[in-house]
Amino acid sequence: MSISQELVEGRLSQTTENLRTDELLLNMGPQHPSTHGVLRVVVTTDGEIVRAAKPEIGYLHRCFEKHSENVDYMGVAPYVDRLDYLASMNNSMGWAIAVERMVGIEVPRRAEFIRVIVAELQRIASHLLFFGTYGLDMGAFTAFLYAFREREKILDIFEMISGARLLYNYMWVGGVSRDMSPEAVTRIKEFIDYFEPKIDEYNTLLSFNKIFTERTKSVGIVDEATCHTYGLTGVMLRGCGVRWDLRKDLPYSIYNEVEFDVPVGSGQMGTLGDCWDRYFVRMQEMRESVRIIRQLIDRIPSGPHRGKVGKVVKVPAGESFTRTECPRGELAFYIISDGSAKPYRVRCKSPCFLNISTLNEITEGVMVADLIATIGSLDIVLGEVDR
Amino acid sequence: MTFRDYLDVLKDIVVSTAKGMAITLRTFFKVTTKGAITIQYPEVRDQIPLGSRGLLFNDVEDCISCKQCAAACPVDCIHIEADKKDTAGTPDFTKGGVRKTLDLKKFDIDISLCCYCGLCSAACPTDCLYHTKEYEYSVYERDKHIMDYLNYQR
Repeated sequence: MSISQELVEGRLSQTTENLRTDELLLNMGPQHPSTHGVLRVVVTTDGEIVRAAKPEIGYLHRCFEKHSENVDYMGVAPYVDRLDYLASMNNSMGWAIAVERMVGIEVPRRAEFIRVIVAELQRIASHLLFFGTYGLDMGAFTAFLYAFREREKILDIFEMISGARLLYNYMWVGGVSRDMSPEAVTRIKEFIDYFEPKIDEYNTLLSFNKIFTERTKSVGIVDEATCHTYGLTGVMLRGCGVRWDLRKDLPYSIYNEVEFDVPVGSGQMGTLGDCWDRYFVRMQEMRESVRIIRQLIDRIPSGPHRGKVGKVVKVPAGESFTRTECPRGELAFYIISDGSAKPYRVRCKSPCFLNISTLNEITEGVMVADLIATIGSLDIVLGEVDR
Repeated sequence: MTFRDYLDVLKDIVVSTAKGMAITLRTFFKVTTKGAITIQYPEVRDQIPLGSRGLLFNDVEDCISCKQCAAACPVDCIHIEADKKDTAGTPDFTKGGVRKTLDLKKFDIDISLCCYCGLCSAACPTDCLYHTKEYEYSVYERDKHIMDYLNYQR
């Protein structure tokens, strides 16, 4: 009996019921290019449908918390740099603020200005890398090259300011390690003038490209309730329409003196809180960062670049919980001090760890290709997931 | 999705991709007329800015064996041994005029452990320990990465 005859007799449905389907266990990573580092995702697939995606982490675990109990407060800074190695400046700024609040060190105005400028530059660099690699995940190679061309300029500025290109150890307790030269200020001005029109270029190139939007809209939807359940912060939270940014709502450093908007997801391409929303929030944040730098770069006050801090930073006994807004969310340090030169206990609350923990929930029942899109839009850095 | 919707999507794809390709073409012509952004690394080298943190160097003539660098190092890669100096001899001074009271016996830095954080050079009171601009020093044996600055030769 031919198939067409079966169709006529309406017996095809019976045949498919009798077909045996099986679930296939698929290991994605730890050396998979789309997992952004050493992440392994154990995917249970049913054909092309993802039934479960369990992230396996720990390949980059370096005992950050235990290590910091054995070095002094200044010595923790290089380790903090290595948490989220794409946003070292923001990380060490969080650590520096945490220790300064415990000791009660006043940071000079000049240092605060330099810190915010450098942190926002780092935010641009981090989002650029996201933009590039996300394009790569979606099969757009050009965006990657464009992003790295701009990021290289930021890294050159950082090398000039701090002496290193990736792991700077620039934000020290009490200020910054070196003063910013007038030459560096000119370079930053040149960069923001050069960079701002480029964002429109990226939007034409990738953000509003139909192929790209079709792949990312209504995929990997995170709603507000999920965010609260998992404790998601940063772009993940803003992507689903919640206007929450620590720089605005609980300002630290001199963020209360600058004007900027907090971009949130609008759901204009598909559903609110989808991959495209998160992507576009990051693109808009780059523009806001440029706005912050533009406001500050011309009025950096003169003065010392580091406050009065002894050779060994001694923190009075007590505990503190400090959180700052990093490009990937809220990074928090919980420090317990027993009054000695070394911390008694350090706990690091990493935003990436929480972001990746949602993966199983938000990718249930999607296609394998959409799983790649979702992992990319979480913007995880495994150095911070594993710590 | 009707066939008409499908055609609309197809039209959007062609139009938006063409817009992107226009940018790519513009960049392409810019690169061909104004020169490439990339450099051919081993032949052409980028200018390293002043104060860049490369390989560590210690000028042992100026070292007063205070061990502050070893204390500041977060990865413990600096190993110093020093004896008390014989007080009978002529007093020894650094270039900055600091009297050396200790005799440096060993000053080793395990460069393979070093994380180039710059905390040691910041702690150095006589500024004898500093970062050079050197960044190419790969070797075939791991032992050669232990820099003995008392018998330094490169």
